[in-house]
Amino acid sequence: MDAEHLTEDERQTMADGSLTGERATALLEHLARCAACSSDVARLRTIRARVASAPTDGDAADTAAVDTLWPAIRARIDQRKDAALDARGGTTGTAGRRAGNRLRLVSGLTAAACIVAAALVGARRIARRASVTPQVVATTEVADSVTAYQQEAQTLLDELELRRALLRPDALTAIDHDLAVVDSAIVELRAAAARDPNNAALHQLLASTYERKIEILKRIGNAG
Amino acid sequence: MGARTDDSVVGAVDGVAPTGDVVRRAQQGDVDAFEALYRANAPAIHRLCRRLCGHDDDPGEVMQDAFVRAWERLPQFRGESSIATWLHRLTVNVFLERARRAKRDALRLVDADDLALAVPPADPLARIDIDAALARLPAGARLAFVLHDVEGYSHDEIAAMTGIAAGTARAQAWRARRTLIRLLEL
Repeated sequence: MDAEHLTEDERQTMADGSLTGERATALLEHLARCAACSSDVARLRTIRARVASAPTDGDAADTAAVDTLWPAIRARIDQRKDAALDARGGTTGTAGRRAGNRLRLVSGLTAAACIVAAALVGARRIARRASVTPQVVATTEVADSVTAYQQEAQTLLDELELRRALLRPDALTAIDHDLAVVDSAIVELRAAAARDPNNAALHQLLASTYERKIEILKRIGNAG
Repeated sequence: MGARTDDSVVGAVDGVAPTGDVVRRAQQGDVDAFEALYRANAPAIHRLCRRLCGHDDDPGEVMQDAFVRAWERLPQFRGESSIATWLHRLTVNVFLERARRAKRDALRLVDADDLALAVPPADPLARIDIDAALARLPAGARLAFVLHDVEGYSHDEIAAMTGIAAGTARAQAWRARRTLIRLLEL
């Protein structure tokens, strides 16, 4: 061993520190006596040490890149959320899908509010028609269903209040807006039903509007 | 997996490393929580990207791809390693995929003569730092060196990740060391 220098494999392996046992002991003994091999292994170790001594959290250029690159990354994440919104049905539960569902919810709520607004126009027509054509109707059953819907809607509203902090601000704004439209329709229908208590069509429309409100609230719950 | 498991690589925001709660919130689609993870880890990941890319790819683009992939895959993160380790591994994979798509011969085995030709001569008046020297290495040698000597992967792991033989990965890393010694005038 003393007469010959270490091979390239032996020098590199010694620099790695990965050699153990009797073989390692023999090579260490050679390094202790051979300045050429010893200085070469030291150079190899220095390369590794230089890399290891570099700051682990990067230098100024790396730190500067953090702010520079985030907007583009954020934009691509938002694009993926939109793509998920287009591609998925919105019934399963990964985080990305939930984010997509929230966006889907906003457009869904708007559509639901439009339906309720159309129902409100219909209610006014029904009220006018009912005043011309008296009807013999049994309103008790409809009134019971309205009461049941009111109770269910209140339960869902209570759940929504608990989950407000988890919803995105844009989704929350859309929810509040569309619930306000539905509630406005309900107030007007209740007033019309009070004026014309025997008008079954008005009561049925009121019940279906409550039903619509419950559907909206359930969709919010499912989108979480 | 022998690659880095050192949580100290997690750069901290205001000295506070992201908590498990931040990871969980990010997994649930909270972009603000994901941004906190990004800011804590981005400097180290950017340095890794620079070292992997050299002059052959854009570190910023690799980093963007890596964090977008991280956003997509985060729900699959099970906490079996630190989030920093997971991000490093994911970034290496993203880099390798980009190299394959671009049909860059990132791991072509270069012998000593090729290496001498491939590395431009250094400006004798300008001493360069380790990262600049790394950037001058041929892609395959740089990759093998960074993955083994910087990221802590074994040659067998590098072989599995890249599809080359472990002996080839070892030879690349060792030749990279020799070239770096020359470039850095050690």
